[in-house]
Amino acid sequence: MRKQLVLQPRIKETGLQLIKGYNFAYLDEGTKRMIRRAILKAVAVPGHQVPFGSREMPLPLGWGTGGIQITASLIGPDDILKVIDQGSDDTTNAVSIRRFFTQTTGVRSTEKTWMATLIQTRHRIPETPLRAGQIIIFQVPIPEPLRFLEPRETETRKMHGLSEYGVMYIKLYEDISIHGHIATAYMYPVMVHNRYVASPSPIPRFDNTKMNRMPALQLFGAGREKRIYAIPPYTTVKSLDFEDHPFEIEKWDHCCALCGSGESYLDEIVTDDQGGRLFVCSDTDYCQERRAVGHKGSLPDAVKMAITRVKRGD
Amino acid sequence: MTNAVNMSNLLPGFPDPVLGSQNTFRQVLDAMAHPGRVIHLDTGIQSPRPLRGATTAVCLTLLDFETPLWMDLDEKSDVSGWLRFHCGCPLVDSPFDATFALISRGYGVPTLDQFNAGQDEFPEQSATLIIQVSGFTSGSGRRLRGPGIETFERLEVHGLPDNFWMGWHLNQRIYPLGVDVLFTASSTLVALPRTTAVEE
Ligand SMILES: [Zn+2]
Repeated sequence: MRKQLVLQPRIKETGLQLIKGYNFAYLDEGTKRMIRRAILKAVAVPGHQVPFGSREMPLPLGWGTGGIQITASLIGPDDILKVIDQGSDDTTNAVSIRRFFTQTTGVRSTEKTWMATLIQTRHRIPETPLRAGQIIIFQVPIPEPLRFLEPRETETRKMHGLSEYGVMYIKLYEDISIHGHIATAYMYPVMVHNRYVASPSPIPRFDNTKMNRMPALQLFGAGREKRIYAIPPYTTVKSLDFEDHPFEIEKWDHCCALCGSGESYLDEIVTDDQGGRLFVCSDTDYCQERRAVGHKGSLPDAVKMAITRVKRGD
Repeated sequence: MTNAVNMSNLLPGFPDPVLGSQNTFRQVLDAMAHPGRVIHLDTGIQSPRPLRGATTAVCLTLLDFETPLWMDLDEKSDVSGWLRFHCGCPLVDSPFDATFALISRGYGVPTLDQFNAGQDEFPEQSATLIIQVSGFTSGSGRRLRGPGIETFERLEVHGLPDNFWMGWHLNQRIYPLGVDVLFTASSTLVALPRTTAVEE
């Protein structure tokens, strides 16, 4: 994805501690129980969207209230939480959500993917492979992969019930006849456990392949649309495609300018109005871990530091 | 006042209700995400007879006024009063009307087709069965495959009727409809979601 070089103040986390006077993780116990039951059924029927009674949260809609409610129903004192937004731990959205949980639960947080027990995410799956026992919670704006083709909920529900996904394939094939390839870059639909077509949330299709047989549990929460769905560990997840047009992920002619990785999803950073640009890892933790062990990109160190500050919003 | 709960011999629930439920839920979720894996619950609770620790913890964690329950125990049993006090779940006479079923004697589990298997558009409305059995042997026995299992898992469940696995096979054939099962034994738990294929 393309990011404009914009300077904005970095949010400082000062004096974070558990605030008394809330229920643990904010939600009341009845709501947690209802959400927990929905999560269990979601795991039992991989890819099927389970309705739940979404509650008002003290964060604006569009800030991932579905994911937040799932995390609030899971989180306990032993957890270590990581929150990312488009690959970064430091955006306003990620910082606000992390602060919300730190203050209402007192749990530890981390930026390290390998260290986290719960990872709440918007728009990315970390580059560091997730391990067994971890849970990744996706914030989902539009859970229904068929919504763009069929606006009526009663109809899409029937289509899932009967496993009638012909319209989806027709749409993808139209893409191919118009563009020569499938043009969908984000929210590329997947078939879960050979039964339900599901939306992977607005992740780049680069991340779709990580979902297949992932050792971690994947949970998806849509607050406004009141849906929860899940992909258990080691479940087959196939991006929809055709024999003559197999699914392909994005590729770049560049490596990360900071860490030199040729395997990560890259953000394009516009550096001036003369067309200057460079490419860096979208996943800031992955990029930092690589640099910490000596991997180098093409940029001089001083420029790297400036870019790192921009990515963090300093 | 036949409906009044006798408070004099009522056992308490979790020492810490909020974190007790949280911890138990994570164990149940871990079990559901890894079918056939034996999970040990550290519940620290006393159970009304004939329930055992894992069963008690699962009930406290998942049941409330929104979950009609069918059980194989008498309305006058200690469990009935305990459930009404701690969970407040309505008891139903017909297995089909239940969203949860509590089966305290695994060898007497009704055939699975008596429970709600959900509908095409609402497979999540199917029943979840909590079946108390006498124990598990993992690493040998039946071979389990499906989502949540990397290759296969081996498990024997002790204290089930012979026809249970035939019923499970039929439950599998109506996927994505079907019931889901939580087996409990003493302080251990094993989940069997409808996606799990079981071979001899
Ligand atoms: Zn990098």
